[in-house]
This record gives sequence, structure tokens and C-alpha cells, in this order.
Amino acid sequence: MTEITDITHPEIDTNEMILNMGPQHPSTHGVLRVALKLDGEVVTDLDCDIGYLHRGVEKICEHRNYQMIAPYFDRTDYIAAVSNGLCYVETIEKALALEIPLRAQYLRVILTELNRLSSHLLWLATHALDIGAVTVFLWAFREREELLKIFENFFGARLTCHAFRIGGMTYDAYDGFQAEVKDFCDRFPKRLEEYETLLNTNRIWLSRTVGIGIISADAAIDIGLTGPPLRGSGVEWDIRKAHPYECYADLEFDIPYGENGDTYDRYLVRMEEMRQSRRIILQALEKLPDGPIMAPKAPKVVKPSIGEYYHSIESPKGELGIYLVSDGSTQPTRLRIRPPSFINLQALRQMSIGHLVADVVAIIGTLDIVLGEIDR
Amino acid sequence: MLEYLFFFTAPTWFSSLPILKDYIDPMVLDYLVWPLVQIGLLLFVVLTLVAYLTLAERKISAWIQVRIGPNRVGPEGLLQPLADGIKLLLKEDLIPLKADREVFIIAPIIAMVAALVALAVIPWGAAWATISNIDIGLLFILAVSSLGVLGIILGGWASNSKYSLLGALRSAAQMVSYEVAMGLALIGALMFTKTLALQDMVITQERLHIWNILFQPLGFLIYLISGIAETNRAPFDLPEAESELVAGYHTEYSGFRFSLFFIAEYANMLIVSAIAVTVFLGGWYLPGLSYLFTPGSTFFVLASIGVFGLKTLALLYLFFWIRWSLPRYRYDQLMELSWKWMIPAALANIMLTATFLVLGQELALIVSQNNMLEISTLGYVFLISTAFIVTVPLTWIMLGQINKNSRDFNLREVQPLPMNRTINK
Amino acid sequence: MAEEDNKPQEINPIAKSASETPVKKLPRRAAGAMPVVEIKDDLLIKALQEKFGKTILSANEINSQQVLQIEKAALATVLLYLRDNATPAFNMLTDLTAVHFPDQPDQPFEMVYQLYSIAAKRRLRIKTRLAENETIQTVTSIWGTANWLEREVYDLFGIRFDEHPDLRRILLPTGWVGHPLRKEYKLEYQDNAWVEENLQIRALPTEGDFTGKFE
Repeated sequence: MTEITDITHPEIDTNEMILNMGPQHPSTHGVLRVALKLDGEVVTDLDCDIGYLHRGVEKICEHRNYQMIAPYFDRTDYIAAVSNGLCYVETIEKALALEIPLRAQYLRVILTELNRLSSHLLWLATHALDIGAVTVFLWAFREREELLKIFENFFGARLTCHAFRIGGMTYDAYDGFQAEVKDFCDRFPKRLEEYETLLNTNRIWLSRTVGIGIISADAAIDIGLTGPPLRGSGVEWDIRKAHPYECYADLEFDIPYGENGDTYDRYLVRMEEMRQSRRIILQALEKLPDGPIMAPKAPKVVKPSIGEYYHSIESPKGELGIYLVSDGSTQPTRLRIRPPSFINLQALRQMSIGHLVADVVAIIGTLDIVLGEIDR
Repeated sequence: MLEYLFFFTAPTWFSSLPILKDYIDPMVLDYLVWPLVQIGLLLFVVLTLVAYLTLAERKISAWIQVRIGPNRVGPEGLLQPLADGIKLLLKEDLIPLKADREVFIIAPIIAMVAALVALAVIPWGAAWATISNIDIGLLFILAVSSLGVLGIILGGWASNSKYSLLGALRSAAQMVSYEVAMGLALIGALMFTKTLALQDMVITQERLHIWNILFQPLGFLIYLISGIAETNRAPFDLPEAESELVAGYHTEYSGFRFSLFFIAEYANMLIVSAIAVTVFLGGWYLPGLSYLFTPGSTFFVLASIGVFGLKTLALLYLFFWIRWSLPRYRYDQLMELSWKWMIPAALANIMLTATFLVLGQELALIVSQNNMLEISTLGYVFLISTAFIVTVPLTWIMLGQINKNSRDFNLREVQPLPMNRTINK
Repeated sequence: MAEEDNKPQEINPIAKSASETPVKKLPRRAAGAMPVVEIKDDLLIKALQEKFGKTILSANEINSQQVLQIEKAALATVLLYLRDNATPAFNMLTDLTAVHFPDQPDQPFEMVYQLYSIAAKRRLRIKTRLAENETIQTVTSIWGTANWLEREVYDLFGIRFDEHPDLRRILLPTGWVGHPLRKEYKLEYQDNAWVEENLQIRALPTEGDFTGKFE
């Protein structure tokens, strides 16, 4: 949060206007403040001001037991709480060298993919809303609502879902869980087609997204983009395939990737990812084995050995990683979260310069950021 | 002088009302009392209609978006506009500290007045159902409604806010561009009606037993698109694009002043669709209406008002439908659409229509006498078929040639994404 | 404000009070260490060791993840080599962070660079140690990612980066005193003066010590 006027040079050119977008703005997806330097409506420079939601999660983690830390992760990326929880418990399990029962693994995959669906649906809703397609917003929320009901039945919470424990799961699937998920998956492709009728070949949608916010594969790697933004640029890289965790290695799915690295390709990638998620869920439901949901050797007092561990998963936003430094006590020495939104947001400047104000909004939407995760 | 202003005298049922007949001079009755009654009635009806248009829009959008919509105030939410109106009236009157006070206050009034003045010349029905049928009706409406943009510009500038300023700038550019296309789109229809007086346009269509849209499909399309842009409705709602400019030119307005802008927007919508109905859709004329009622009778006039209202509401529904289905254009794309597509198309439409009219006269299918057109049966076939088969495709090809290098025309087709088909086992 | 930020300031204004009340940890039992294996037959590591010799202090596999400890002076050159000339080339900087070890007073800070090679799907962790008030060369010119990440490290640890194009605080407001992820920074510490000045909130009563009451 610094003076914005002196991004590159302190004196303000009279021909340029500094426009403050946020922290209260309909389409900055939370409390992001973007200072735009405008020449007419063309963005010549911009600076992101983040930190309005900084809670010091990493600091708090250093002062909590390992079990007490877990709920904090539901609140970093609150749109994809399940993925966050998964990343945390997996990191600790790997550091402890714990084997997780197969049933817990499959349940985790099902829930994480359901969460990916709900996260992508929220992205679609807000992204479309930013570009002015209000109806898609409410249609996507209709499906998200069904997912949240499943979450509520499973976790007891709709947003800050929390059912993973170090060593497995707290709750087993409730009665009718499989049927409900299956039912949802059966209905879902038709709903996706509905959104696509409204957007895919819509001329206005095309002219608002094609060629907007182009980032080449090399530039994307250089700036550290991960997740759908990286794949939209044509890099075929997904942690679920590259470094399979849980039971992803047993499941069949494809990685969609784009060619042009523009907003439209990222849109297509995410839409296809939803289809692939559904595919994963259906397979996992079919293969879901019986058995225990907690590892029998799961320790009551979690104390990883002295050392360090880095583990990352493919969260809906990108690579969510945790770097754990343990001194052998019940509290971590350092628990670093690698927030995908934070690093993806950094590309905003590079992607928006030369575009119009309206495109900045579209690009913020296509990066799919969550301020809770950026600010931590 | 007065006769030019008030074309129609008061209907007999009004002038024969006992109180009026006995105490008021017939001249005063015709030229003063009756118009005032008309104006009062029209304002009441239009403002109520505008209030209920907001409810209709909310209900329709709710229906499109699988929601319920307002349903708490009154039965089925029917009193919602009333509640909204009271809420807006009771709100604190906020004027930003650094705003230009006088201009800030006057801007919404300009917008509102410009919208309401145009109502005066619209033929809401046959005979006495119009306030004044001035000779330059259409020009009058175009002139007055373009004053509305002044209100928006002044409001945006006076707010002393960057978002408002950007919204105002956008709307100035947008309205100026689309006014051109709008005016040009109407010219084709004027060649058939040969008059600018709106009531006479409807009468001409009645006489020819046709709606102008059949002669002017392209003109209607261009007019409709420009009309949506003119009224700042989605997908052209850039001046108030909430995802970019918060609320555009009325970001700083609240309470009653905001509601004035709001009413002006809906009244403008009403006017644009009313003109579209008058010029292209035959106004209050419906084939067969004169068989049901005696032309000129009170029932006929009431029925004609009903017909006009239904057509207008159908167009308004189209407005809502478009708004809730389409994303928003970007500022430069919007201008491109106007200057590269709408205006050339409107010009081509004028040229081709004129060509076919002259050709029709040469072929003796159409006779023009006493400033009126007489069209034979074959002439109808000729004009309608040329409009649909020649004008529309020809214009489309021409536009394609003009814009073949523009970005918008070369958006790539949707292709399936490449995907890895390797199966990770 | 950027100027104020760039002038060397006292990095640890609250360190003094922290030294008076040492950080208490929960009682701990002796724990084992994660398996540490020295990397022997790895082409990349071998090439690195040949090229850079003694600046690579150690090359271990901790918990089957490759970790290189490097001397601070050679860091930028090693990283540049890893990006451009190494096989596989590590084209992505996944993460950049720091860890504070107050119990090692001569070099309390450890910079951690998580590198990734998309082509080879391989991770490599580079670490280097820093003394208090020591600066380190920026890697912004090697990976664009480093810009914000280094700003974050500066913000939360107070480690300064030489030649960083835009070294400002990123999460905390300008003018904030202290760097929260240092161990001596108390968990419930709040800069009352800052809050009062910038937010016009009289946050906590002035009498009585409300800071760090759970420590």
C-alpha cells in the first residue's frame, strides 16, 4: 500500500489519468485495489495494491499445533476450501510418511473435484458478470448451490468445508452421498451446454475475450503462472498428471490446453476442466472401495521429524504449495503457503498494458483470483 | 398558429360533458382544457408504466435467470414500484462536497424533461389519442431526445468523480454516433410515408394496408440496434457499465435525483419503441381493426390505443430479453459497430430503397401523385421481395468487404481444444 | 513514501523487548530427523559441483527432495546457470521465501528458492544463508515471478534485495514498523501508533501491556 502515483516516475503527466479501481469495486473480486494509469481509456501502467485482507496466516501457523492449523487453510482460498485442506493435510502426511487408506483417498479426490467444479462455476459466474452476461452468473450459481448442498451434508459447512484430518478423513460419506453426486454429474453436462450456448459462439463474448490479455507460454512460465492460465497459453502441465498425488494416477482424465494464451482460451480450458472433473468424479465413485477412512498409524500428537518438505497440488487456481520446516516439535518452524492467486495476479500488469479499462476487468476475471489467498 | 400545435380538437364525448359545455368557451375547451387533460393523463399513464416497467424487467429477468423476483410487497410483488418510489423519495439528498452544485442538480432534470417532452408528439392511438401532430414530428423527437445526453454529460461532469466522467464521455461519444445511424435508418421509411408527422405516417400505412417493416427490414434492424444503444441499454450500457465504471455517470447520484435518471432511461426506452412501432410496425394500425369498430368512434380509438400499447410492450420485452442474454460490448467495439457497420448499412439501405422506388415507378408498378404513393399488387411484391432478397444480402456483402480487415470480423471460429490423450496408469 | 522505505532503517525495533522475554515454546520431546541422503550420482548436481566447486556447500536429498545449499555470493550465477545452461533447464521459479532461525545468530536467515523444470518435471530447492542486516542479490532479472515474492520477503522478513526494481512493502502498509515473520515479532503485536495515525482508531488502551499477552 504505497503511493501509486510514483510507479515509474513521480511527476504526473497531465494527459494521463490515475483511476483507482477498488478496494471497493464491483469487479475486483474482493478488496483488490488496482491503480490504473490511463491515456483516454487505454491502460498505460497499473499497480496492484494488495494486503487489505492480510491476516498473517503463516505467522499464526507458527504458533499453533498441526491439528489446529488445518481450519486456517479453509479460509485462505475460501472458494476452494477443500483443495486447501487437502494440500495441508497431504503435506503433513508426506512429512510424517503416512499411508492413507484407499477409501479416504478416493473420497478426497471426489470432494476435491467437486470443489474444483464449484470454484470454476464461481469463476464462470463472476467472469461472465464482469463482461456483462448477467444471466450466466445466476445460472452458474444454480449449479453451485447444488454442490454447496452436498458439501453442507458432508462437512456441515457450505464454504469453509473441512473434513480432512491428518491421516485420513473425519467423516465417512453420508448415506446417499454417492447417489447425490452421481445425480449431479448426470445433470451437469447439459447445464454446461446451456452456458456454452450463451457464450461460446456469442459474437460479443468472442470480441470481448479473443485476443485479450495474451500471454505467451514463455512469458507465462517466466512470471510463474500456473493452473488454467498457464494451460491457456499452451503449456500442457497439470500437477495431477505431472506429480500424481492421492489416487489420481489410477484415474483417467485429459488435460485441456489452449493455443493462443488469450482470455477466450483460458475460458475454454476451464470449461473443459469442468467436464474432466466430472469424468474423474464418476470414475472415482465407481471405484470407491470399502474400508477404513483413517490411517491406523495416524499419530495423536503430530510431530514431523526435523527437516523440511515441499508439497504442492493442483488447486482450481493453480499450483498450491506448502513448504514446511519442522524442528521436531508440535508446531512448525515455518509454514510457507505458495499462493497461486498471488503469483498469477502478478501477471495482471503485463497482460493489461495497452488494453482498455473494460479489458482489465476481463483479465482480472480470467486470472480467477481470490483475495483471501493473495493476502493470507 | 394554435391549429398547427393542436391538430385534433377535443372529442365530442369530452366537449359534451355537462360541466365543461356550460361554463367554458368551446375554443378554450379545445385548445387549452383538453390538451391539459391529455397531458395530465399521459404523464400519469407513462410514469405509472415506467414504474411498472421496472417491475416487469425484474420479473422477466428473474424468469430468465430461474429466480422468483420481487414478491414481497403486495400480491405477487405488484406494489414493489410504489415501495421503491417511496424509498427513493425518502432517501437523504446527497450532493458530493466537491461537486458542481447547480449543474449537479440541474442535470437529472434535463435528462428527465428531454425524455418526457418527446411524448407529446407520439400518436398513441387514432384520432384524439395524440397530444399534437406537428408536421416535423419525427425531427422534433430526434432533436429533443438528443438533448437527453446533455443531462448525462452534465451529471457525469458535475459529480467530480472519475468514474462519472468516464461514463459521461462514453455516453457522449456513443449517443452522437448512434444518433447518425438512427436518423439514417428512418429515412428509408420516410420515402414510403412521404411525411414527418407521426400520425400521418400511421395513416399512410393504414391507407397502403402494410407495415413499413416489410419494405424496410434492414432499416428496422438498424433502427432497433441504434435505439438500444441510444437508450444505454445492454449490450450497449457502457455509460453505466457496473463492472467497469461502478455506475457510470450516476455513480454519485442517490435518492430522488437518481430516480430521475432512472425514469428518463425507461421513458427513453418507451419512446424508442413507440417510434419503432409508429414508423415501422404500423403504429396503431392493425389489419381488420376497422371491421370490428367504426373508424373514428370512441371504441375504435380505445382499441387503437390498445394495439399500439401491445406492439410497444412487445418491443420493450425484446429490450429486456436482449439485455439479460448478451454480454456487454467494449467501448471501441461499440463505436466500430456504429461507424463501420450501422452507418454504411443505413446509407446503403437509403440508396437501394431509392433505386427500387424509382425502378418501380419506371415499371409503372408504383404511382406517386399528390405526395402520396399508390402501389399495385405487383408493386407490393416487387418492393418487398427486393427489400428482402436484394437489399439485405447486398448490404451484408458490402459490409463484409468494408470490414474484411477489421479485427471484429476475423474472430477465429471455435475449435475444440487440443488435449493430451495419454492415459496415466 | 518509497523514499522513506528505501533508506536503511532499524529493522528490528521490537527486537529489544523480545530479547527480554524470550520466546517460549511448548515442551518438546526429542524427535528424529527426516532422512537426509547426500546426492552422489546425479548428472545435474555433478555438473554443478564441477562448475561451481566449493560455492555449493552441500547437495542433499531431504525426504527424497533435492536440496542444494549454496554460498550467498554465488547464488545469482548458479540460478542463472540453472535456468539457461543446465540440463534439465529450470525454467520456472515456483516459490521464493525465507525462514528465520533466531537460534543461529551468525546467519539467522535462510533464503529458499523452489525451482521447477516443466520439461523434466523435476523440482530443485536452492538454499542460502544470510546474516542479520545482510542484503542479497535479486533474481528478478532471472524470473519475473521473483518481483512480488521478493517484495513479500522484504515485507515480512526485512531482507533487502540489491537492485530490485520496486522494493516496497506489499502486504503490509507503508510505514508499518517491524517485519511480522521474524520470530521475535510477537503473534498478537499490533502497532498501535500506526493504527491510530492511519485508521483513526484508538485501538487499545494505552495503559497496561496488551501486546503479546498469550506468549
